Amino acid sequence: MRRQQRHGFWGELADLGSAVGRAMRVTLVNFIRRPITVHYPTVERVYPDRFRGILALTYDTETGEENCIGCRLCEYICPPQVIKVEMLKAEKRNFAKTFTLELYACEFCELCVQVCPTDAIIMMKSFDAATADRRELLFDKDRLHQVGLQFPPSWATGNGLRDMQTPPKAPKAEGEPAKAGSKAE
Amino acid sequence: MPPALYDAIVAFVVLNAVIGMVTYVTLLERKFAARMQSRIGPHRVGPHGLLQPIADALKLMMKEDVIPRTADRGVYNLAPIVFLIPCMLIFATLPFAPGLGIADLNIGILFFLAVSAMEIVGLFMGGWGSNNKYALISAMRAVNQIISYDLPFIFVALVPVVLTGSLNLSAIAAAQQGVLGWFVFYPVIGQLAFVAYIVTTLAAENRVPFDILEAESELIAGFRVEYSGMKFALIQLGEYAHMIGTSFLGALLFLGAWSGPGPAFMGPIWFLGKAMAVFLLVTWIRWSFVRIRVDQILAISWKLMLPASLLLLMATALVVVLRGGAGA
Repeated sequence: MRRQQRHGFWGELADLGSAVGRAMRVTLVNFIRRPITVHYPTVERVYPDRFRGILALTYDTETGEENCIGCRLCEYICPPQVIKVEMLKAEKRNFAKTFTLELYACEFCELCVQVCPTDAIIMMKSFDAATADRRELLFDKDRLHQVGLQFPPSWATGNGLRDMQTPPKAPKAEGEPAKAGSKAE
Repeated sequence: MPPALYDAIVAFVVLNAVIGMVTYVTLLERKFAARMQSRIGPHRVGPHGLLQPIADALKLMMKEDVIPRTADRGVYNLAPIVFLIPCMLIFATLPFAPGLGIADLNIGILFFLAVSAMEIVGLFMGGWGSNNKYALISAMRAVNQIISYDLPFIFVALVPVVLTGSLNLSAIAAAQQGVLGWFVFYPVIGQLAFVAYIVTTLAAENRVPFDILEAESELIAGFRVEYSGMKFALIQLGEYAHMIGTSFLGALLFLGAWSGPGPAFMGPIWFLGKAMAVFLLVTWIRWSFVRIRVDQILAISWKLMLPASLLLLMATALVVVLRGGAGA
């Protein structure tokens, strides 16, 4: 795109003139184009499917029980160590006795969501957590459940991500060795 | 009504109209600039941000007035006023319609050029009085630049004067009736003079691409870096008033002032529209270019603009003589 520079007085003048024309054309084209601004608080942009927003805990949609079993995997993997979980042993399954998440130090890496075996912790399609008081960003278990009901959830869940990376094997067709079947795909 | 009272009333009205226009021109510029960057500009204060200038003015009035401890207080405090007065005075001789103006001087354009060159005194006082190295460097650059560009500016502004044969602004405006009579449509000379006028205006107003005196990446805000509150507002007001004044002068010298279709009362509206068109052209240039170096600015002035404008002026004079007198 770079042109040969012209020389001499008239050549430089021609270069200058064309440069002025090109520069002013760029701004004019932008002037005519529609502004790309979105009026944020009144109009919300569509969140991408895998948006990494604020974290929340979920309930089981069928039984209405908490999904979290207090396994503390998220606590172990969390790089900034903002998650603290205590386990509550019960008869059929375990629960989280306490679950605190310091959202003000969270780096939204999504690792806790990726390791969760029961899809209990997920991310929401929202970044609407602005506050004047930092203590409001220290989420306990109730607050996390409440956030989970407040916003639409993002696509990613622990099991969903695992299935995406290593799809569950399709049931073998009868009379065909597994190796050949996978090659044929 | 005694004539002195009449003059005072007209002056009061024009002064307030200029101040009101300045506040809203800032909004116009911000909106225009925003659209050039695919933004929308001020939008929250009032419908489509229409009350934004008022909010800005209120904010500036309520700000604390900080005076640097080592500043030269007298010079520092006086500078904004010394800066503002010439910028306001340039509206004194502008005729907004036939017979509608404060003073119809027979050397109107001379007064305009002389007064608009005086703003440099206030500017340098501000830069010196602040006792800040950035402000001082900025003021030095401003003096440098404005002295360099006043000569070509005056030569270019003299082209319509030579074509008309009068220094009176009303006479210059009256000489270009009908769209084809505008001096910008005068073959060759008119277009060259208009381009040169815009370039020298940019330099005289210290606008991009000639804004080395407030080069934001190196000198923060230039000579007004130490000013705050109302003093800052006064300097800002003066700068925009100067810019609008030169836009009006450009519209008067080259775009036929109040000539346009419609009845006589449309004259001032046409004039305002043309002045705003010149202002928007300047703004458009501002948002299209990058700043150029000090030595380049001076080289353009002394090696290009000055000889070119002088040649243009002489060519104009030759044309006028060959055609047998001015106004022909």
